[in-house]
Amino acid sequence: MIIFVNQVKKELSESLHLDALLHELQPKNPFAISINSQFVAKAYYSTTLVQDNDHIEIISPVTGG
Amino acid sequence: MSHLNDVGFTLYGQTFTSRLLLGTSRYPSPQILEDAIQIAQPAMVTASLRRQGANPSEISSGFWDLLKKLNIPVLPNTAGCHRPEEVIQIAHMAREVFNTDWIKLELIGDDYTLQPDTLNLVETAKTLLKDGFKVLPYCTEDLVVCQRLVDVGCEAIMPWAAPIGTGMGPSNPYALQILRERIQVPMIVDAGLGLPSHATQVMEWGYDGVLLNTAVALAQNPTQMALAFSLAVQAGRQAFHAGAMPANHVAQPSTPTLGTPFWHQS
Repeated sequence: MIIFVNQVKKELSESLHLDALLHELQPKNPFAISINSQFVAKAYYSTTLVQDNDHIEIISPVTGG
Repeated sequence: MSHLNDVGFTLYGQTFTSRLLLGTSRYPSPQILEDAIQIAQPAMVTASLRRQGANPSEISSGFWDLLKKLNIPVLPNTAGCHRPEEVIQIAHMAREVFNTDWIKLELIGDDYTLQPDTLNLVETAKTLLKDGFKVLPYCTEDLVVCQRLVDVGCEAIMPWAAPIGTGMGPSNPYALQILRERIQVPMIVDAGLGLPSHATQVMEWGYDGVLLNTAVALAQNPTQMALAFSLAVQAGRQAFHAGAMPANHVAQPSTPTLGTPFWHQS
């Protein structure tokens, strides 16, 4: 199945939970996640199943005004 | 004499001794950013969220480590959001990342001026407040919009002086002064200040604080300018409490005229 991580296409051989995907991606801490523009709290990583065509955003702190 | 030592101001029950809030963007280097923050000792520093990997220099610059080192409260913003739904999602993500309920609500309605979308701002603020956020909404000087923000529960508001990053200073002094007279909650002037004198001006009008970024970051010496703004904010607050003299159109000599040598009745 195909997913998009920060707008980059990624192919997965099987469906997996968000925590497993993050284990594979190893994003730099700290970060927060949204799937299809909906925030997913850390508490739900292990129960959130990544679906075909999901758009996943991994966001981190940057400077701001 | 009671105001000679300014005790600071209170936002959502939390007291801040400094009345300056400082943005963290556009500095020449992380070290200069750190120096500016250290010398200004702001009440809060603003930060934002972006896609990981979108700006590698920022992600790897240790900005997060700097925030932890400084130990100054962080005010995350929702910069770049054009729809209320985006604001809500970013706010929740910011709460998790920064471990804070503070949120600078930015809902942009026009890309050219970065003017806030005042038609949707109030309902968005209401939703965030209901979700437990301490909302500091970036708004215009529109009195009715500001009053509605207070009505839905905002305990402080942040009207602009001028569009973000322009450095023009207060573009509508009359409206900002009327706003100060009419709105009772703490108000922080956010955006558009370019000079320390601009900060002093709005503080003299009775504003509780200022939030600025570009005026410091793009100064030739940002650290020195950060100090200048810090002092300017304090000067303006002291002047507000001191009470200015009434302005006159006619000259009045400050030196006594009685007994002036060589003076004769003409």
